[in-house]
Amino acid sequence: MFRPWSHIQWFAMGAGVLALILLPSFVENDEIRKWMDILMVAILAVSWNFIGGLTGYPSFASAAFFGLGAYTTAILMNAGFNFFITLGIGACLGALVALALGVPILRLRGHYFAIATFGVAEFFRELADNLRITGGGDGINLPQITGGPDYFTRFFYFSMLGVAVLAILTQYFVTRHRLGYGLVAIRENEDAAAMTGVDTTKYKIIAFVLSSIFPAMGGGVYAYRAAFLEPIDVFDVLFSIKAIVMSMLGGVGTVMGPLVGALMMEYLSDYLWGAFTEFHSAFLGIIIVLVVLFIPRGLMAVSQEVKSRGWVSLGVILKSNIQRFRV
Amino acid sequence: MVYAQILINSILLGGIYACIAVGFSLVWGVMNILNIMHGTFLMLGGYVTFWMFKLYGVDPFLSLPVSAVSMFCAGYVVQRGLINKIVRAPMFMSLILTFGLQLLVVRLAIYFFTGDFRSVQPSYAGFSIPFMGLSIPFVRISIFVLGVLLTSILFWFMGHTRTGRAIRATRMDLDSAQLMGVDIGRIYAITYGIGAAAAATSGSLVSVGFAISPVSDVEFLSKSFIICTIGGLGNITGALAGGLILGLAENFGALYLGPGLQNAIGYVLLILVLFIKPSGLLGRKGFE
Repeated sequence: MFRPWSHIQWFAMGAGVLALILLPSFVENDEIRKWMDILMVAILAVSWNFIGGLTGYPSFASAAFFGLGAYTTAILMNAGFNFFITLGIGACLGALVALALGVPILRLRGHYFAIATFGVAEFFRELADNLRITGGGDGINLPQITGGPDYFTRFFYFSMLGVAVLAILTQYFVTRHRLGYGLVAIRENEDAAAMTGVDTTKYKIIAFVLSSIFPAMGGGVYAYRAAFLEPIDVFDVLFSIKAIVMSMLGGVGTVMGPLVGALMMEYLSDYLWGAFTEFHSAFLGIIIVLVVLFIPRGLMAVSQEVKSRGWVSLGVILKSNIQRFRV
Repeated sequence: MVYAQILINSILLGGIYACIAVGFSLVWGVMNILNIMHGTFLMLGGYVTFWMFKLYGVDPFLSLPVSAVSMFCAGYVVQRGLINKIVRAPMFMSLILTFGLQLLVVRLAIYFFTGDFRSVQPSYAGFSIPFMGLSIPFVRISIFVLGVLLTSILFWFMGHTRTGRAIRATRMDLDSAQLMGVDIGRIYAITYGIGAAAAATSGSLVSVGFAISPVSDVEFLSKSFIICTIGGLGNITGALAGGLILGLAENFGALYLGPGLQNAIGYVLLILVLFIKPSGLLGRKGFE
């Protein structure tokens, strides 16, 4: 099901990355900042795909690891560590926490798993609200980055881009590896997967760990950029929701889907209702409802069907989507 | 004496917690939907009571039926018009769908009602009943009694009416229920409506003894998560036990660890129970 990319696909990927690398040379800082946000959400979406898309375990823990990484960077940079070292430590810490939590949590299925991951994120938030080391509810300041706005906008942009490329490449290699097939087997039928020799526990934990590393790093970049953290900002369940919805919009369980979803959503939302920042979450809600009802398998799947049946049948495709699961 | 007072407070809190979780447990059990809208219906119900008191001076306990009926209708429409379309999809879809609706409704509520915390303050708000040297707030005990009463009525309804039995049949075996002539789409909508009405009544009760705001819906939602997970799905005793355990744990936790960590205790409890016995302490097998 996952064919290796052809030369053309690799070329397109390379061209995309090159375009993103060259982007800051051509556009204003505002535009760079917008793309930085897109990349951040893309990191979350792609990472969620490991556990939610490939393995079929609907995790709400993205926000937990994002916040964990953010606070790790904040605390360590205040202690005088180099920024990039704190990213690495944040990633390791995220992986360790995912490992420790994964063992009990991944035994759960369905809603119980969703609730447990939600509980983990909320628990972290409560903890950050009350511990002294995190500054509690008052928040925590980070060292300010030196240099002009041109410099630091690019610095954060390229940091984000680095993490995003890392996440996507990891995703690519996982899906073409035994691991990826094992994860999909677990999603389709966990008992059958176990029967055919997939070490389901091990595979699920690896997927959960992978889904924790990149949000932790992204959180670190976010923290340094924001220069100030509050528990409610970074342990926000909306980060988890966005990750899920963007994966769904693009296509759950595909490599490029989450990326496409993140791109579409952030860019479109900026144009369509950039002026109504107050109602951002309301529009997000409407999008969620529409995506779930009409394109539950993602834009990639719809575009493939359109390709084979023509644009005329778009209405039929959307209608068949909404009728598939009704009572 | 302090312990006795905390015990009383915990039981009173536990009663209202149980009431909050009942509708959530019902929807989850019957349709396998993790209803993120639950806290939202609760919040809206609380606002119905609040505005009726504020604008027309209606006693909060008298506006309960209004809040219940209006949210029943809202829930019925939501289920019939939206959730029924995808209810057979992987369970995760309905979760995300209700999340989308929650984002929309909460945002609108903040716009119309502002994000302030509101509380209904009837003239008897400050009364308390002395009982063997302890003081029991009048409002809290009324909420407790009403909450338990309404929960009992709901469970009587489930066991002894035609609709209630149809709901239970649907939960046990969807296909057989359909073969027996149960209109699944309608039963689902009614179930969701009942869940919303239960949430709304508990919201009305909460708006009297506590405070509500559009953003407090997530707090009540996560309480419902915790209570249902601790107690287990499928029976009234589960919700009651879960509510009481959470009430006790929060109050005594606040005593020993400080009030800041009060909410964190619930999550620790949640994860512990999931670790030890995922189907809940009183959950029955097959009702997950």
